[in-house]
Amino acid sequence: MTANTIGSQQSNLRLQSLKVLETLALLLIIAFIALPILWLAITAIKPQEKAYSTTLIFSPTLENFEIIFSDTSVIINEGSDRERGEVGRNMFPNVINSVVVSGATILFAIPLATLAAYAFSRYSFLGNGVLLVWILTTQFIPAIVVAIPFFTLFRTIEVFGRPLLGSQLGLIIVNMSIVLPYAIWMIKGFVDALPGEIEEAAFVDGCNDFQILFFISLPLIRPGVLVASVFAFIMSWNEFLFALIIGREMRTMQVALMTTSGARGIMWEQMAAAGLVVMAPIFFLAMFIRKNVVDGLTMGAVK
Amino acid sequence: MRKKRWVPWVLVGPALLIIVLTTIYPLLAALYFSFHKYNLRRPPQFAIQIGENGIQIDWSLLSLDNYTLAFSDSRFINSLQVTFWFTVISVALSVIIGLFIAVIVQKGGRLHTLTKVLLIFPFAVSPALKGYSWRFMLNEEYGVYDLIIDQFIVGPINALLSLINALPIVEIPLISESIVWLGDKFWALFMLAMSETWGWAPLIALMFVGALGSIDEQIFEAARIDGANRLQIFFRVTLPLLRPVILIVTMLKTIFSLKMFDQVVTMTGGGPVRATQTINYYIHQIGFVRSLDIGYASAMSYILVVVLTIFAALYVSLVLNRD
Amino acid sequence: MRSSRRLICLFLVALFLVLPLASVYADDMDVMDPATFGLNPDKPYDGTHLNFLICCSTAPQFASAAVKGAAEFTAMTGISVSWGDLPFGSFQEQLYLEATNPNTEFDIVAFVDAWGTNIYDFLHPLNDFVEEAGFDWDDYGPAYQGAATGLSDTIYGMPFRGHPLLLHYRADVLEAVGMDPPAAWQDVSAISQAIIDSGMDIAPIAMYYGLNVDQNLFNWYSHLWGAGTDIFDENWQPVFNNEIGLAATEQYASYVRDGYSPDASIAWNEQEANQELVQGRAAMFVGWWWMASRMTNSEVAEVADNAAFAPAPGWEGGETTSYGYLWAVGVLDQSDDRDAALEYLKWLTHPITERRIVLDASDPALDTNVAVRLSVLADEEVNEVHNGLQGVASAVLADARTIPLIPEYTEIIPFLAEAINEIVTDPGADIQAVLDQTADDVRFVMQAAGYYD
Repeated sequence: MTANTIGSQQSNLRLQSLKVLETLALLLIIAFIALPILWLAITAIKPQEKAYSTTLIFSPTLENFEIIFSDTSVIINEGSDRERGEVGRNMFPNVINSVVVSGATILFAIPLATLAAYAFSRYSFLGNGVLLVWILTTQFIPAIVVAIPFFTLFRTIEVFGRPLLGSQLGLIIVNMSIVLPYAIWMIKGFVDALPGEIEEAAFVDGCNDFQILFFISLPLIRPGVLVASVFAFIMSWNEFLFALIIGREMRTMQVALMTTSGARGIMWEQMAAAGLVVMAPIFFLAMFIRKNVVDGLTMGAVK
Repeated sequence: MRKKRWVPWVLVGPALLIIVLTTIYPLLAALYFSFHKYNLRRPPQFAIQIGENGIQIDWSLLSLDNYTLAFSDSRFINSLQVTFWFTVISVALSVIIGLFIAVIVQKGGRLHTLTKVLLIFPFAVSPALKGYSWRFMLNEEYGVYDLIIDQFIVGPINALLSLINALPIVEIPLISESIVWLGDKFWALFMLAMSETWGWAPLIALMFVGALGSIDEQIFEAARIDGANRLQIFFRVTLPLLRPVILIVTMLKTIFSLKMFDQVVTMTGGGPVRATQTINYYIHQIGFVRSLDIGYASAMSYILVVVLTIFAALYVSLVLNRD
Repeated sequence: MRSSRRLICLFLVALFLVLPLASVYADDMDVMDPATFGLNPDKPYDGTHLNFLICCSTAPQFASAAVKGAAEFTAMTGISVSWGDLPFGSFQEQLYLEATNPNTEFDIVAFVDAWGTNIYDFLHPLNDFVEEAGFDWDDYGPAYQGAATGLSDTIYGMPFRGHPLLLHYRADVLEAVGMDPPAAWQDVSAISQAIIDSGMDIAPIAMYYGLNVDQNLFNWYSHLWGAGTDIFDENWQPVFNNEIGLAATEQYASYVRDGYSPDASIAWNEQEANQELVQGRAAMFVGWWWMASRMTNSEVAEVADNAAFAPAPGWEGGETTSYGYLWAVGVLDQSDDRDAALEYLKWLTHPITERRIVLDASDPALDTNVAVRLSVLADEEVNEVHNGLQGVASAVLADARTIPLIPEYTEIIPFLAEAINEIVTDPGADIQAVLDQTADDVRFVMQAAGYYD
């Protein structure tokens, strides 16, 4: 054997071991990311007596979902000697609250954000640059500062005979403060990416500003608007502090997670079931906007 | 190109109005509250009264008491320290682990692509749920993290230590396998930061993956031809090129860490003792749970606003200078 | 003294088991007749809807009261009541916010003793109500009376759900080491040592030192009061850091420091500690009596078969005084339907209603042992259904007391709870120093509130 082949064998070996190391690192990363989610999913289908252990041997059950969505007592293991009763938690209204609040938030925010984003992208007007940066900085206001005055204000305002505090409308209004700026920046990115020639041509053909906006530009940026809507939906769905302080007893699912504590402390199997309900729909939405999340979160600062 | 000057204002107006109402109004109101004695248990007395005689201002009702109280309140000082350490730990871990993940997954390969897809998953888990699931998994009796840490980290280390201890040279105490993660001041804060890292490191990795992808491959090629090894390439080429992005990401994560609230409620409840009472959590406790002192809560949140404004200014200048 | 207590206990239990069961109230009493409860038969509030602010709708002690007989009440009065369900963890804040909110939708509120002090101004005094309803105020023990009136004579809430502290223990484990259930906390230490010496694979006691809605103070109070001191002296100066307070706190922290209670108990809340007992990992637990059924219904057969209960321990050579925890129900002064709310209160806290709730075990999810009236606690049929638990509870309640009922105390509670947590979290903590520091914090609050002017 010549020195040369030994050397190349060594470097081959080094390459091999590097490959192994890399695969190990990848597996470690996957485990790091997936474990909490998997464990929640597993716990959600564990029978109560197995939830407080790390065992993986159990017969899967849907009884935890039955308990969190039932509005009457649920009898578990009926007829067996392990029969017991559990009061249903009736989380349907909480799911409805979450859907209504998040849905209405984007319903109000996205049209406004689209118009604003279009203007910021296509027009140069006095102070537009400063305004845009200012909109970005509103995201650095701590939520608690927004929550305190709105809390005291909403206590005194009634809409349709019901106080705004603890109402879906109240939470929707406050959620605007976090959703709108992100949506504007995100949609602006999509408008920026749109070549201006088509609009230019339309202008030459005699279309006015609004005709161009509604009949030419908007259809073209529809995918971008959809992505921004999904992003905004996720933001308000996962929002907790406003929901806690402004939403009060109108609990969204995030706050309703707190109701899974009871005689056994936090009833982990029920918390996991509720948690799965909270995150499962978001997984699909997040996969859908996978490529845009980073742009959204950083408002396009990292590209 | 287009002439009509009012058009952009019509388009921007409604959104702007809502943003002003939902951010400027509370900022002003909280500032106003912070100079008052304002407790929810009593009807508030405000300095500015609008009555029949027009606007009257009763200066005697305004004071800086809430601010002086804050700086003599050891619990508030504690919350500043906790927030500082939480921010330092969570930002450092998120950025370093994020960078590590990005460098690993950036290359092609099926496992790489799968991992890249998975990176988005923690974004779907709300912070509140994150807190609960980590608390569950860190339980010293039935927590899966606790099991893993004991089996795969503490166990091997202790085995090694026992081997060393078998030699009659030194006696190194073994690591306890019964650490109560959320019952220990340091570990509770660390684990809180870890849960934050779990949510953010993958997202930060995605940011870096994008930035890495935009670096010209020829630069790496040139470095390799010059005989640089992987580590050298990483530290001498990749890192300097990523510097602007790292700075922006660090700043952004710092701001998000300073605003963190949800997991404290669902994971540690501020404990043990006061070890995880962040500013946001303490403000919430004072304003809405314990003393219902809205004036004091407003003053403390304004101190937080000042801190965040500094970081926001830094962030904005970083972003603007980059373009 | 120890054995005599035990004898009394056993005697009470035996008595209730053996006695022929003659009920105090005739079973055929018409629960559909408004006159039974003193309700107005003319249905003046027909169609009124009341909102009741209360927590924990899935806990049997509350769920049972929400459901049982509710339809009959609505049929008799035309009043419907919805129970707002709030998680315990955020109930205190919601209570304050609703009670102080001029636009609140709630008419009736439930509150825990100390929390009530902050909303007394917003509650309708119930002295006249008690008189008109013909209720016997002395049907409630001294701890509950105190918790419902604060430091005044004004009744702010009707005792509704109340809890004495019981020792929940494994009869088989104590038998194996040949010990009687502990009468004093010092006995707990002795028994714990015996259990460890016996080599049994079970933690002697599960304590709860965690910071969770201040539950780590419950048993500390027993230590403090038993040893002969208190939170404040008569001039509202903190005295819990005196020599006796130090001894009491040292004893209280000793269970985890001496290894009798698992290390993890520094972070446990009451429910988590109870779970240790229920799952067979601990032999003793001192906690509220409503948790008794958790042990008797345990999935672990040897736990369920050996479930036993005794009064909470006292202090060796001192007092046996424990904290009586009360949920009271009050009516908000600003409620538009105050009279209808009072009508509901009359029915809800009526001895017949209370007794029916504990007797009805038809739905396992709504099975509860909780009652507050001494007459119901002494009721033979009730005791028969619950194996004499109410008899033991009465014995504890006779010596139970409540905490300082001043509004400032709710601000002080977190200081105390943090101090306890500090002492157990750091095994090297200087207990005296921590207590002194906490006393300074307490004095600061009291000073600011003008107690020393």
